[in-house]
Amino acid sequence: MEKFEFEGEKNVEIFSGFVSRTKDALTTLIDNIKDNIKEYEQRIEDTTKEVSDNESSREKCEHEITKMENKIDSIKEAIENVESTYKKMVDAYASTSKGETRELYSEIIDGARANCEKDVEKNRSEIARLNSDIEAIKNNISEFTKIIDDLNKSLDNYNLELYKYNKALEYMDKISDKTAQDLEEISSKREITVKKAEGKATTKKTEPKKTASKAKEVEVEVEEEKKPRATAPKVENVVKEDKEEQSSRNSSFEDSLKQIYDFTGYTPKREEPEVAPKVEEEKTVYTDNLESLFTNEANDVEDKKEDSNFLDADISSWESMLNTPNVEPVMDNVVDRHESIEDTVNQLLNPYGTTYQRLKSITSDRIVFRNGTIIPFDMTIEDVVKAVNSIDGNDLKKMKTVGPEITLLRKIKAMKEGNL
Amino acid sequence: MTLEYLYDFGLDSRDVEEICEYVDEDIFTELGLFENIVKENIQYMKDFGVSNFSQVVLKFPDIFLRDADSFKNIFSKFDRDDLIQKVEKNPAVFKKMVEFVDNN
Repeated sequence: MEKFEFEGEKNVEIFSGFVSRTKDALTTLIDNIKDNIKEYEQRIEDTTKEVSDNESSREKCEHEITKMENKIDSIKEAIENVESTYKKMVDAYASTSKGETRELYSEIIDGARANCEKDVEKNRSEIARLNSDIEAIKNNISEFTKIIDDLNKSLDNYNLELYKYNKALEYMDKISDKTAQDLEEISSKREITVKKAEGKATTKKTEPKKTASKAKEVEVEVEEEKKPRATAPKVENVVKEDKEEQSSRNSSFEDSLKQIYDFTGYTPKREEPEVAPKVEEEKTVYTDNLESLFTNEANDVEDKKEDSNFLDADISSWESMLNTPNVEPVMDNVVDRHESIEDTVNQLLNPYGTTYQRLKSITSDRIVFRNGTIIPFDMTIEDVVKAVNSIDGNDLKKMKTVGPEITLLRKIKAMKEGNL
Repeated sequence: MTLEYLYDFGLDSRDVEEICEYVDEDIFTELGLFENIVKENIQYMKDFGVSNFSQVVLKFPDIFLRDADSFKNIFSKFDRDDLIQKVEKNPAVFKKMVEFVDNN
């Protein structure tokens, strides 16, 4: 059994460099997760919009059907009216006419019957056409329903993925923070280690290995390094640790990452940045050190999970967790100034029984012309002030009929179009 | 399509095309720009009980380009049942009612 300790500053630097690269790898991983979260949020937004569009189309179809059914009812009523009128006519003429007049009337009645039949036929074919249209629209509705169901399923999947990525992000952030802490710890240990390297012998059985190749030396040194970390902070205790304890923490970098992936459900789909292969290269040398790093991390997270149960939290709490931070400082002065200007405008508008906000709320943000041209309609406070200041007698007359709001808005529109 | 919101009030694409064809350019742009006012007024008419309100929209869309208060004022000037009965019989009656209120 071989026992190792830090030999000097160089070893600490190597380990420090390694942990730095691990930290970089984690940062890259976190960035990837964030990208995926963004992507899923975008997908959710798009799908929601699509669902809403389809629902709107379906609703329109239903409106159409109702309208067509009403039309059919009115046509049926018309047919009944025509037939009833014809019957009454026949009865009336039959009871009143005699001789030649009767013959004349019978011609009229035949003509009327032909017209009635023609009308009835026309109406019935219209009903048939409407019925066929209704069937077609019903088909459309079922298509829309199917699409909506599919989209909702996708939406559920996206939400689930987003939930997983958010969990993964949280987990990775914790690991990243811990890695940063370790780095600080290592750099603080550097001075102590240098002093110790000067003061006392460092290894018991490594002497012959110092003549071996550099790679072999590094491997040995890092195995040494693991001990003080695993039993930290007392370096003296390292000597007493046996090999079984060491092998119990013997999981590789890959295994650790795999654990994280399994745990979070994350599957790296992008090409791993250049940092990752570097870590892979180093991994063969620094296996045990990294293992202890991740073993500690995993334990930490497990403990916290038991305490706070944060990984089992409801999706809504995750959403709120993600939504709460990043509150930017409000520029009070600017807001106050804007509010005071708006107050002034509202005072101007008060006699007309409206407010700036009300005018904004009833106006669209664009003007669409019949030829399809669209121009933005951005109504500012200045526009309102100008419009109020240019109110004349004609405007007051218009206000009496159509109201002050629409009159003011028309003035603003005309001003913007250059007609005033 | 800028007047798509009219679908929500029982008008179909043919009705909307018809409106687009015969109204002035100004009215057309205002129907789009002041969508919320028009919607508010149509909804009021619908809630008031005029069952063929969509016919009124189709024939006289410009009537709905007025403040909500001004629009409601028209209805307050007439007997409710009488107004509903007459407008349902002939949507053009509503135009006459509006002119009457505006001129008096």
